[in-house]
Amino acid sequence: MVRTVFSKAPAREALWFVPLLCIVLMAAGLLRPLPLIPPLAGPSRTVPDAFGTPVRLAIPFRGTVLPDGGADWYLENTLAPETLLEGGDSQERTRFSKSVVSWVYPDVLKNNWIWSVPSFRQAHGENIEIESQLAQNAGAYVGCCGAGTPLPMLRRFGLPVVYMWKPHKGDEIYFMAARTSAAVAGYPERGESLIARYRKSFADLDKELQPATLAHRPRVLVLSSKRADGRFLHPIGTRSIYDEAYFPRAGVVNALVGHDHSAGWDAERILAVDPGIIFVTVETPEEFLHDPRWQGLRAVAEKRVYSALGTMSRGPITTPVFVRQIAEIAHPERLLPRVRQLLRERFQSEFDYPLREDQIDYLLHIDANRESKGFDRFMREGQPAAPEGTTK
Amino acid sequence: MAEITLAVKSVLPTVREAAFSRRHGWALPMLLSVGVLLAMLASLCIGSYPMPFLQAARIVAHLAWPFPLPANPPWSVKEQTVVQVVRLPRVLLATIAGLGLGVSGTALQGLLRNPLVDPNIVGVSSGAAFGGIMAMLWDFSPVGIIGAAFCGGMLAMMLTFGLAKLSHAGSDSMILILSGVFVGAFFLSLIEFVKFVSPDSKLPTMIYWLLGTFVGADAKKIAMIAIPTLIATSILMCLRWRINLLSLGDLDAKTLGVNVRGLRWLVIALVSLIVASQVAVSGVVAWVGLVVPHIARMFVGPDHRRLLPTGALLGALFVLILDDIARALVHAEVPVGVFTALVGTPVVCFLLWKSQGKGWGRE
Repeated sequence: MVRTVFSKAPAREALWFVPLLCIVLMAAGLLRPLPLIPPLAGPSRTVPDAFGTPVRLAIPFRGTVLPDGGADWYLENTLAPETLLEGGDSQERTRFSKSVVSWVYPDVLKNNWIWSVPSFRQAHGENIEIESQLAQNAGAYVGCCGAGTPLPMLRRFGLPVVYMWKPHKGDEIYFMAARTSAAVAGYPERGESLIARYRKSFADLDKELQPATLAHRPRVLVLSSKRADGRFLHPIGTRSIYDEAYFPRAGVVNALVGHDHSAGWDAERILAVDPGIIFVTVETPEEFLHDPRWQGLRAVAEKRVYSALGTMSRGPITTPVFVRQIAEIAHPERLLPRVRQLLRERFQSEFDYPLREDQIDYLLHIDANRESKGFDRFMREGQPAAPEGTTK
Repeated sequence: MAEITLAVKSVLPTVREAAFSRRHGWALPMLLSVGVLLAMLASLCIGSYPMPFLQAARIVAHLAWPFPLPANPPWSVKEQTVVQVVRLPRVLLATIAGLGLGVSGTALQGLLRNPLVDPNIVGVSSGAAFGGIMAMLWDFSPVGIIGAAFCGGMLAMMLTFGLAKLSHAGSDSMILILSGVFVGAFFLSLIEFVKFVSPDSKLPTMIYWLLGTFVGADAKKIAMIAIPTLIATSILMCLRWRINLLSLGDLDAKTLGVNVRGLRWLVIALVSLIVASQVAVSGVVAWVGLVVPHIARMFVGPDHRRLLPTGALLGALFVLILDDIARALVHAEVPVGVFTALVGTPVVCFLLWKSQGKGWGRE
């Protein structure tokens, strides 16, 4: 059959195969070794990233923080907005605007150039938008090792790439990110002092709460959702940083312990867990308390449903305050109401930023938590007099 | 015998046409081949990084030339990076996928003698997508994904033909299409179920992949699609005389000495291989296999000796241009599968209006 077929093919029919041959040749060109961008010519210094890989950075340092790194987190760790060349796209800008760091650095939020980077988040692959980065010389790249990150590809080109942290249990991630980003920005001492203050905050909480002596540890559920409208329930599991770092220090336990949380969650399963305290992240406590689905829950009957500070920040400065807030809600008899004061102090000492009372109200979701039991201790009225020098 | 003669006349050229073909037959392949190559080079100039046409052509020529690159090339490292790593893989992927889909749709329409057929309608795409998505769910290697997509495509095709045979329809193309629609719907529902049970970490990738996209093209993906597609396309090209005979109908083809059963299954296997490799690499890119053969038929008529290669090259052009639009004009990386459907539907409607329902023959 083959002989018959080819014998009928006149020579000019071979023309049809020319484009196929060209495609094969072009495809073969892809097998050539990748071109490497030459190393920096000017003054530079070498910094190890979270994986210990030495990275050569230009002096002075200016870099692009990728979405998985988070410009807010980077600035919280470095206090060096002058080193932030690019921070992402409009989506990242919106996320940044909701972060507490945007209050401290409003100029960063207003700077259109910083937020003009085409998104890496929507890349669904590693090649997208790399060429725009090559076109505008975006300095070094700071990010982490999540799925779909373009960092490996950028590093293969020979561009300076810094992994801010690598997957790790507990709050070691905070320490890695603090050390690496502070070193990258050229202020390594900032990372160590941040870690020291973070540890001291928890040591102070431990001293005051004495969790080892607690007779009762309330069962806490942090309820999130996979959709912004709250349709898909997503409780924070038992292998999260909450269980590894936050809950033991706040003297509470994850209500999901002993429950299989590999399968999907629905209202019935939440009712079966029946936690003592619930923190919601999508709905407001008020909506949750009046939702007919949850009327059988003990936490709803006792009005122990809260929207917590933790939804506003993920950095090392506000995290200890967030954990203290959980502890104050769970064990009000052991702890003085100091969350507002701590927020003021931390913002003042870390950012030199005088936090206003209305900003603290916003951080603590005061309006949303009005109906929740015992939340008056976080309100302005429930506080001792504000220390001198703070702005009301 | 008279019927056979008439039918043969409908697909084989007349003496006048043959003479025209002898004189000018080279023009269309030349034009289309040059058109595809120019479109590929032009596509290399589209993107955020400024790239002159001649520079892109020079870099590609040196990359394709089987000798070492010059020590001091007249282009920058960044320019070479943009061409070699970012744009060329994507352009090649779009071209090869379009070429494969064009040739598959043309071959299937000839095989089933129905202008409504494309790999989507007979269920191959859905089957391949199901295979691919299962492989992604179970973390198969890239080769495993293409293998699973191929098995899914073949299974869907076999089910389609089996169902048609069960209904004693023989080679009745309408029954085959109906069977394909049912099988396709079945596999689509399986895909939905897999999406439902997939973990959150895999779901966005699966959905984006199912929409059809050339994002993330690299040398490995090019190898995955190029080897099966180019081999299967070349075999189909060699078989295009026989597809001509097959398009006359089983009885006529048998009378003319064609092993109908063997040839049909060979064509189906080749089409499944092409579609499976395309789906495995870039998801479901719909409508190309339906639209392109119609346009090709307007240019060269129903003779598969020229229709098949024209369909292949037009498919490559069609997908390449749509991908350029998807990544350049919209600036939002719209999946190309969405674009092919958006453009394909009005094109088919236009062709339907243009042909005034006269069918796909030349009469």
